[in-house]
Amino acid sequence: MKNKILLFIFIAFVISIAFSFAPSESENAYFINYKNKLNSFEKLEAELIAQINETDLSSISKVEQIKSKILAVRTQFKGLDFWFRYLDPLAHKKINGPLPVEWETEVFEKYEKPYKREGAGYTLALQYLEDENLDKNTLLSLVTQSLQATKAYQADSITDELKKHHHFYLCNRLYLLNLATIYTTGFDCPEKDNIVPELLAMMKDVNEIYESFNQSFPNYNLNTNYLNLYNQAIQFVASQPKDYSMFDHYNFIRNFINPLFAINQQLIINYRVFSKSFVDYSLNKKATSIFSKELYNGQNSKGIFLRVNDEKVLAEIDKLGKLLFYDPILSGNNERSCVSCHKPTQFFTDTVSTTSLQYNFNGFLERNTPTLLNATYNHLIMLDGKHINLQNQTKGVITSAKEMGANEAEVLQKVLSCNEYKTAFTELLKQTPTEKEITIEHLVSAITFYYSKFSKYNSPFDDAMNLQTNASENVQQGFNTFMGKAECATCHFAPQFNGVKPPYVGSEFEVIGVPKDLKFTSISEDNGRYKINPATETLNAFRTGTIRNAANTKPYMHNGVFNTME
Amino acid sequence: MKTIITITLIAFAVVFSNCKATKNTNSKVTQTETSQANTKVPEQLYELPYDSASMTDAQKKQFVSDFEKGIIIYNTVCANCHNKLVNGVQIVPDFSLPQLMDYEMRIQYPSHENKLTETNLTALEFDQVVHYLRYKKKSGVHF
Ligand code: HEC
Repeated sequence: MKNKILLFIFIAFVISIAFSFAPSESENAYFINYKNKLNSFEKLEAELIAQINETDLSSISKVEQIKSKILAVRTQFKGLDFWFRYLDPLAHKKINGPLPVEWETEVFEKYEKPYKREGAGYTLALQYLEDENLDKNTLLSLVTQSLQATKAYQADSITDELKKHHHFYLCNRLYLLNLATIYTTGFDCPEKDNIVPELLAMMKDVNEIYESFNQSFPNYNLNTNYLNLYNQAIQFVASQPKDYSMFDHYNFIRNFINPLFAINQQLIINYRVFSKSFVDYSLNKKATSIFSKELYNGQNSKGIFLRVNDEKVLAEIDKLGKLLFYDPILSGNNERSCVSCHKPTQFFTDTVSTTSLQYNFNGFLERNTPTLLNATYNHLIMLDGKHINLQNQTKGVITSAKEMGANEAEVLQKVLSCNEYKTAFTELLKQTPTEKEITIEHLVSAITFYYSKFSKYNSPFDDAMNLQTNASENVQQGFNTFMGKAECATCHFAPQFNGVKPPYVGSEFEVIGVPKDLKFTSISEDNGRYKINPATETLNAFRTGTIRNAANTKPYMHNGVFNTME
Repeated sequence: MKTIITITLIAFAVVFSNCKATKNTNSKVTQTETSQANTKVPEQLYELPYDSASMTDAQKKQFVSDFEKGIIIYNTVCANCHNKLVNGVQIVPDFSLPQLMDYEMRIQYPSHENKLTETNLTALEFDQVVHYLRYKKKSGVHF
């Protein structure tokens, strides 16, 4: 009897718990939407594998069949991109990564060594189909790896996140950033005719995601302002010509995507959205525009003074930095200073010589002097990514035998023998409690702080994108060509138009085969990234530079081989 | 239906009161632990790693210098939130090795947002503070 009562209590307890937790249909709409899309995607992938298993790829029509199936799979995938890209970036790359081998060169390199990642997925499979000697097993391997990767998205660790609102606003942020940078440029859609139709389909898919989210999370709704503007954006894309080279990127980003981004950032703050993902490592919650200087954190230009926020003290550091920047005592022979090559009147580069004179004025350096403007928006410094921060770079150039030919102890001693420096730095020592005495770090931090401030100014283009002015017809057209037909934007990403693309945690390196000279007979002998991370893929690869101020920063390329942009 | 609800309510009440009971005993344990910790007077601030015998002089010097810097960084960046006040004395709690995970610490906890960013703590300082927390003498107070 006693047992029966206990059993009864237990059952009643379980039932009541079950009732109180079983979510209603509307609460579940979002989750169901995810599961349905994911399941039908997996089914399609399995079908594709079966189809490849059955075919012998012996005729063009058989290959064409496979090709159209892959395209269908990829279209379905685009509907999941919103979630996939954020929730598991590595699995995402296995499904639709653009490159066969990638070396991770991320902000985390400050802590971890670069690692190699083999690509797989549908973009590579499509490329492979163009191959002369098709091997069925290679093709199978590419798509089977994708199916495996897709299974990661069924894991509890991911589906649990879908039950809270946090991930949604972070997925959405990444989605909006990608709308402004890669979805419209063909970066991950090499078949140009598909760019605009795929974009439109994707935006509509995401609208469904929005609706189901709002049903399931009434307390964390995307507001009507956002939804209205988003629908206008869809209409805008629908009204654009199908030819991707005619797409109006300027107005798409300026009037729709950037304002949507601003609302999403506001909601991230209002709903106290918190991230546990490395995807958000560099992004700044407080930035209200994609074209804000605060969008992501690249370098710490303050160096050892990083926690100093007092304006008066900062002004003092800036003043000292400027003095040092111009001061030849930083060099071994007291004849070279930072300004010898980075001329403030020439956008902090040297627009006259191809590459600068070496330390002892005998011969020239291998590489062209880069502008210091916007250097702070890179995660890795130098064209080969040798340094993980600006301060190490400054020390590197002071001690380089070819550049300033000094050593740290000697420079420190020379600087401190000057009374003005000594008093000023002694005063600043209070700001760095971990340091008992003035070190080279204090000097180089002042220098990087000084020159980095010039990166903070908004250009007229930024003002236009932030709706403060409107750009001329010419500028708009130029921007549209840059983003579209000229394919510049597949490597130079907004807002800095350098190699740092959303989510802005890594710097890209590219092998483009820069010629040694204007005869174009051989490529430059400089190994680039290979010097730092030797691998077949990094040979002659250089970090993608910013094209901001490019009109004023000639000559171009790592060796300064080109004097004009044409 | 009514009976089901009453029975569940009773069941809840039982479970809940149980929770409370265990909680009480828990807090008693920590109290005795901490008062013990408070009376401990460390002769040295740090414990050398187990393989310290094989450390060169330069390595030892680096070890101590990083440790000292770690203390200062801890006091400027972390202490406000992490120190425990025990009988009017500030105690630096002990963190376990898994708690002192790598740079993941920067993003894993909501409270660390804006505090442990790269704009507030460099990679080097981060290593130094972890070094300090790892090798400091145990206070017996757990975070
Ligand atoms: C603004 C207050 C604050 C600051 C500053 C802060 N922390 Fe924390 N930290 C917390 C809180 C609160 C938690 C508990 C986790 C949570 O809910 O966020 C935590 C968690 C931790 C944990 C994980 C403990 C566990 O439960 O696994 C570690 C380790 C840690 N902090 C170390 C540090 C270090 C080192 C610093 C300084 C560099 C620091 N914290 C600065 C508030 C802070």
